[in-house]
Amino acid sequence: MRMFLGTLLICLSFGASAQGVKGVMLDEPVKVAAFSLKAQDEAPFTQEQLKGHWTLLFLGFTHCPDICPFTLANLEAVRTELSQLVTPENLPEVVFLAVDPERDQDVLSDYVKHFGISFTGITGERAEIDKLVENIDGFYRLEKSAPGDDAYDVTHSAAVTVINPDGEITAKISPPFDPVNTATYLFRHMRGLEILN
Amino acid sequence: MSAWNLPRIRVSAIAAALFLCGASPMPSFADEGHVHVTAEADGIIVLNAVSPAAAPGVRTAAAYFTLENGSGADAELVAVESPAFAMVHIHKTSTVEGMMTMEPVAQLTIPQGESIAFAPGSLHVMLMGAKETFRPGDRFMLTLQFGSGTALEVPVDVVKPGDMSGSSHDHSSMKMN
Repeated sequence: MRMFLGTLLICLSFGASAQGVKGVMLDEPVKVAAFSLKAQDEAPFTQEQLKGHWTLLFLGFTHCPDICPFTLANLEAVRTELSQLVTPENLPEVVFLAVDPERDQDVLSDYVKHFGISFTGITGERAEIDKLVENIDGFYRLEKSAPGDDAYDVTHSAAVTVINPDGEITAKISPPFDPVNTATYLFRHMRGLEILN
Repeated sequence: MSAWNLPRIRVSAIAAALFLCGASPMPSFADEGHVHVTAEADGIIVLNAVSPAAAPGVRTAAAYFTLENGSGADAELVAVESPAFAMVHIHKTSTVEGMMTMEPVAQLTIPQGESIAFAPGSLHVMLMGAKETFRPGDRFMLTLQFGSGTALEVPVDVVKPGDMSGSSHDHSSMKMN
């Protein structure tokens, strides 16, 4: 019976992830090391705030007109799909790490409220941002063309880091974040089931 | 997790997979029932021009639309401008080796009879230096300049972030890859 169900699961996982979620599951979870940032309401946000629930963490900057709002909308769609599978308290929280505090700090609170989506924006001192970015194996670069340039772009890594309730990185997923496929992937990942892509 | 629980979890996972297989792969963005204006000049048509409202304090925005070339010849989009913004460029977002990056597009060719989608995550018009705060329901003008000399004035509707659909059955502007 278990063989049959196992086979079914394998067949269905091919069907359900036909478009394939580009994900990397870490062989060993990596503990998120200490960092000290602040959330949009000025409350401290450290590695401790990553515990007790699953987290989807991604890098961006508030002056990003295209991909950051798009990623936020996609992750919200993923959460909506997941909400059909897990109870509200088991839904992962979305955390947006704003890597451009010079421009992000003052607008972060408004930014978070602006989308009508439940997520946390965090930013702070550059050194602390860099600690977390390095920990999640991320990357960013401010593309300032001149000292007075205010409209610069920020090149940054695209992956969404998946962190478990113990505050450990367990996977990274890359765009596109098709809501249904990504929700399936995350659901299995969070339940410790095998993912066959 | 005890052994006899496992089949039950697998069954529910299968049920979940089955359920999700049947679900629509497209995200559903709320449609406010707006009819976005169609702009046309010399056979070149722009549909569903929208700009998600930027957050307060952020003077950079993006505009998205579908551009159809019915002019009878290949069209070259060579410039974009707007009285409402200090600087306007065509940009293309791309993911290269896991990095999100944007590059300016100096000139865009739309072959005769074809259409191009400016959509989140790919081609978009980048608007910088907003001269005022735009809120959902506002409208600003965008001019598309073509190599042929055609200047197409497009009214762009400011919409709520996440409200991208110009018409509920048109998904051509939602490129999910």
